[in-house]
Amino acid sequence: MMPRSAASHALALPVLPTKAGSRQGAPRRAAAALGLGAVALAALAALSGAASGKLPFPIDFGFLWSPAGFPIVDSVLPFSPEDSYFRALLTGWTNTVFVSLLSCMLAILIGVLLGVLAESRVAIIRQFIAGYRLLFRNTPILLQLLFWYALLQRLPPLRQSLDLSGLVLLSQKGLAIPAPFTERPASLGLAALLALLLLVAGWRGTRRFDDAPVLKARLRGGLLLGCLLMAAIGIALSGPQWSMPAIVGFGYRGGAVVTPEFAATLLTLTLYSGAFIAESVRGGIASIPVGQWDAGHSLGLTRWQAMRLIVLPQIVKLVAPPVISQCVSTVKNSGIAVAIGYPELLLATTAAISHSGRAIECFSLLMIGYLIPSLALGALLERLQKRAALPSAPGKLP
Amino acid sequence: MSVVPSSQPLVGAAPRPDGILRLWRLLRSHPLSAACYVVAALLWGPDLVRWSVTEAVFTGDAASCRIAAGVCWAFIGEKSNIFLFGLYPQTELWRAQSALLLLVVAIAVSLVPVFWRRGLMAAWVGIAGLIAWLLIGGLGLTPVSPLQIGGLMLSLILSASSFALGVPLGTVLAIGRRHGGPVLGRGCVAFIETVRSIPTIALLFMASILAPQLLPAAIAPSKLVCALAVFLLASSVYCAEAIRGGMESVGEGQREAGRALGLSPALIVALIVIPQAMRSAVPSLGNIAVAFFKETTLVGIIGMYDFVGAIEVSSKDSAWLGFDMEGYAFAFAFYFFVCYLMTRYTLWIERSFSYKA
Repeated sequence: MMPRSAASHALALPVLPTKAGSRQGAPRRAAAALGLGAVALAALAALSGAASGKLPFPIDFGFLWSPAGFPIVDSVLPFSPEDSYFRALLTGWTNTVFVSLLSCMLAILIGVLLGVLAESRVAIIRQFIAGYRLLFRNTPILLQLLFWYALLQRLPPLRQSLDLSGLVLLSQKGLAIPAPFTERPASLGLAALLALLLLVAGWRGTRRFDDAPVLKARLRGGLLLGCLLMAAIGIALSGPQWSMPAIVGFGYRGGAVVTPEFAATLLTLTLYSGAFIAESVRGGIASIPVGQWDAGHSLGLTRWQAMRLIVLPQIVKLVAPPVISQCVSTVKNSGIAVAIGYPELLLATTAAISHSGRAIECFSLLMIGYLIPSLALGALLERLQKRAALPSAPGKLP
Repeated sequence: MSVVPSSQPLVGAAPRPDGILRLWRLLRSHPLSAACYVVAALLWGPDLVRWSVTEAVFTGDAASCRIAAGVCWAFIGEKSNIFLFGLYPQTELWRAQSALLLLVVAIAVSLVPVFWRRGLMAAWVGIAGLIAWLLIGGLGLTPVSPLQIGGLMLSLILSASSFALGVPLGTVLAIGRRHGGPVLGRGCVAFIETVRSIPTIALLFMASILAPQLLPAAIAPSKLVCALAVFLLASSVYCAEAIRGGMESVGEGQREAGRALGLSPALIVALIVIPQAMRSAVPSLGNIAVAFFKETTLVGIIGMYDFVGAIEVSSKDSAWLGFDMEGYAFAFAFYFFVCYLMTRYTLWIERSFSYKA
């Protein structure tokens, strides 16, 4: 008989169940969410079958492969009305991910810049940044989107487009710029893929030189140059040409068009998230003890050098969780683009529903579409936390 | 030349002066910024005053607004009924006005800690019923379709009810998540994570499209009820997360003390954990309240006219075309003012009621 351990002599505390909390991992939460989704779907199927008197199996995803019948003009993936419903939803999802990713990156740039400047010694800069943060955090994001869109609609109409140096056209319908295209996309794609694979494989290979940093840096530099050269050769071999924009009929033909819907969505999401990220960065910098700044001063560093070399590397760990959760919010906020007609996932879903009548199927795909980026970002955060050995919340024991 | 961030006062420095003396100290210590402000005021000040006050139109019609070079404040005055009450029928406007007054007074009274007693909850139930009767009609008053409720009235109703009911529901969810056992706990986690991953606007669309399809026609809810249900769901999920954070910040020693007193786990949670968790969760709950006040603008996309929707509709009136910027400026100013006040209030509550560390 094993002697009872000291712990079991203690008070018999109520054993609280394992918290399925933030440290238990994204895969478990994903499974839980998808399981709940499946149960809910089955319940809805039964309900709608009961309500409409038909068989309780009206959920039918077969319609996804029939032609959609509605156009999506402004998108990353090319789409025509003969393409399937599935491709329509995929196009919408790609648009959502594209605009969210781009605005997250820009928002991080702006947020870090403004967060660093928020503690500047020049009072007017501090006050302007405080004003920007206050204004963009205290107003609804939909209102900001409508405002920017209304402002962009004040550009001249299509027929009187502003013609900048003959190459770029700007009007209410958007900004048309010359776009490169190639008649041999396969060779370009192959070259790019080879270059990328070489880069990734070689990068990991240089890890073995971790104890010789100069050699590692030179190897990596050489690798990067080699891959760029390979990509350049691939581009040259595929015979690039330029397509120039022109006004044809009621729109632009040729070139690439940045529509006002896309621009307004990008601008709104970037400025809104940038305000929140600036606040996080500012809080992170303020939480660094004054001793760190004094140490930098005693080493003879200027304020900017102390910021760059001592303070910023320390706040990266602190600021990563709120920044990533702000990226998740950005993906969700991209849904407001419905109000101005940018064809992201929500608009594509509503169009698919109005054309096919399949509400439950389309909405379940919508939920999966929004779950994928937020779970991916959550997994990224867990990976970063594990790597940096962060506590799950600042100041708490892990 | 110090490398200390300038917002942190040095230890032992003189206390900051107030009022006009502070302004003078500021100007003297930051001459560059002061110079920028003075130059900006000289360059643009007179133009700004002329544009917004001297040449602005305060009363009048669209024609006089178009002639004038300044801001058309008359647009806001003319359309104020739509901004406040949406497309409510003009003959019954007194009902909307009294309902709005009642709601604003009730909210103002509830913010003052002196009135925080049990009677307040009973009073709110009565007030909610009274407001519903005034707006929708029924016994004794001519019925008005719920879709005609709009403007600021709608924004306030949606945000107040979603937050007020979201906090207790969120508490239930948080307790279920933490103490619910393997099945209920995981179910709560899945529910919370799913609803948090989906944007509120997608939830609104889902509710407004699926509700008529799934529920029999007799009890199919109107868009207002759908929107209320969705906001309630979303706010309860966010409040659940905030309260869970508060619960985790209550030390284990508190629970052990409750156990030592012989309390059951349910009583420990109710009497010891939740009161302390609420105090810790006040900042997060304040943020949620502000966020939901801003989120009520989303109902404009499913076809209801809240404050921003009413401004959009007014600016498309053919008699008053071209004054949308005044409408947007008014909306910006209003939301900024109210949200700023809400955040200050949250800070005050946090300071007054938090435990001194």
